[in-house]
Amino acid sequence: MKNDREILIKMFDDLYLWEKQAKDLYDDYLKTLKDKKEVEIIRGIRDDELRHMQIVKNLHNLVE
Amino acid sequence: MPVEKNKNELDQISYLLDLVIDNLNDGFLLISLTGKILSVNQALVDMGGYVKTDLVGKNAMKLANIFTFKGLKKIASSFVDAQKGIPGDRYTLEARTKSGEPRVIEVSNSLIKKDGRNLAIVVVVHDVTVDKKNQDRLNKSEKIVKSAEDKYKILFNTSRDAIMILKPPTWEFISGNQAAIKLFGAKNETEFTNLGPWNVSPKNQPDGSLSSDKSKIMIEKAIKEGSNFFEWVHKKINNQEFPATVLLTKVKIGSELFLQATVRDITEQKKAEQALKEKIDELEKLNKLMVGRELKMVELKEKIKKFEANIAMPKVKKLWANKFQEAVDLEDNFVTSLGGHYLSEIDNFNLVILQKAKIKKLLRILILDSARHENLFKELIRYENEKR
Repeated sequence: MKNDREILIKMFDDLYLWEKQAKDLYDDYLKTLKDKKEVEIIRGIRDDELRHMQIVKNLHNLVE
Repeated sequence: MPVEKNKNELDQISYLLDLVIDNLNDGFLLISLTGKILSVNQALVDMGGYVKTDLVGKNAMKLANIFTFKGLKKIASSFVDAQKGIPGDRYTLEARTKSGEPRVIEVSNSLIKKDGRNLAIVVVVHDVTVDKKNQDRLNKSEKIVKSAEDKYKILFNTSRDAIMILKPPTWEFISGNQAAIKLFGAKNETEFTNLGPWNVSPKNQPDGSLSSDKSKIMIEKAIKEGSNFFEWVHKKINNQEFPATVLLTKVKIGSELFLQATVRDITEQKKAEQALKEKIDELEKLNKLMVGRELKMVELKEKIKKFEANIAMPKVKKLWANKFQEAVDLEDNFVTSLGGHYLSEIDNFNLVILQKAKIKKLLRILILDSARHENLFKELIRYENEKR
């Protein structure tokens, strides 16, 4: 149904924004951190967020 | 003086007889064989508003001010019969009182004889005007009843609602209009009246009760309260079921009790109600989602503001603050709130099962990752604390 699809697309757009904000925050961390252990962990998390953004895009495409 | 004594006695008897005749309820006339009125009683003069002298001495067949020509002819004819000793039937005449008021009288003549000689004719007059009025009233009532019956027949036959009459004690249909015959799919009224309510109801009603049991309750209620309106599932002769409203009305015809059932097919109404209910459910679902989403959006906006504020903070301040706590909060929010909300709401959308399953699977990956991230950031906080 048209309404359902529109709502879902909007939901996934919001979710994409959420994931992007997280990725941007972790990018920001990476700019300032020196500790190798911290950098390594946060890079991994930041890469996860990039993957999440891709997943959310896929969800968007799935319902569009 | 025995002769005088006898004469006195006879006078007394004659006087008493006059009193008796005067006090009769019916009018009484004594008429000579030539038609001359010899005597009238008080009841007769009261009946017509006359005085005795208006009548006594007049010829009964010439009272044109009292009787119509047709009436006078009838009087003459019956008078001749009476003279011949032919017993006449009672006959009815229209007459007028002295004031001109129309009356209806019933007349009978008898011949008085003595020693084989015809002496006079006694006429007894009975005022039947009141009875005629009653008869007219009765006829009028009958006309009204007939008119009402005719109107009912027209309504019965032309009504778009199915109307049927049920007769106790078995409450079988004894009559059904065209709409009823059509509604239940009968060929004609004969086929329809071979049916009983149980033939046009499924075994059970939607509430699970047996139609046979429930119909008795509905009939009893209609008898007790005068009418009963309720919803019912009926079925046609071809077993096709349909929802209907039924109005049972107690009807008394003469001394017999019947029930009139008015049945209306509400299939279209039910469809419209269902469509409306679905629309309301859909709107409620949408509203719920929108409210939930709006709340999440508010939270998200707060977070964004917070991020922006953090970005704007001087580096030294940011380093002084526990920077990873924000990340912990962010990931925790997703796990406990936003991600869970999305996951639970997916079922409310009109999606094919495979689509739903795939979306849920991917959302679970995001939630599990966020939970893992939250733990990693908590570890980093502890690590930082240890370093200090």
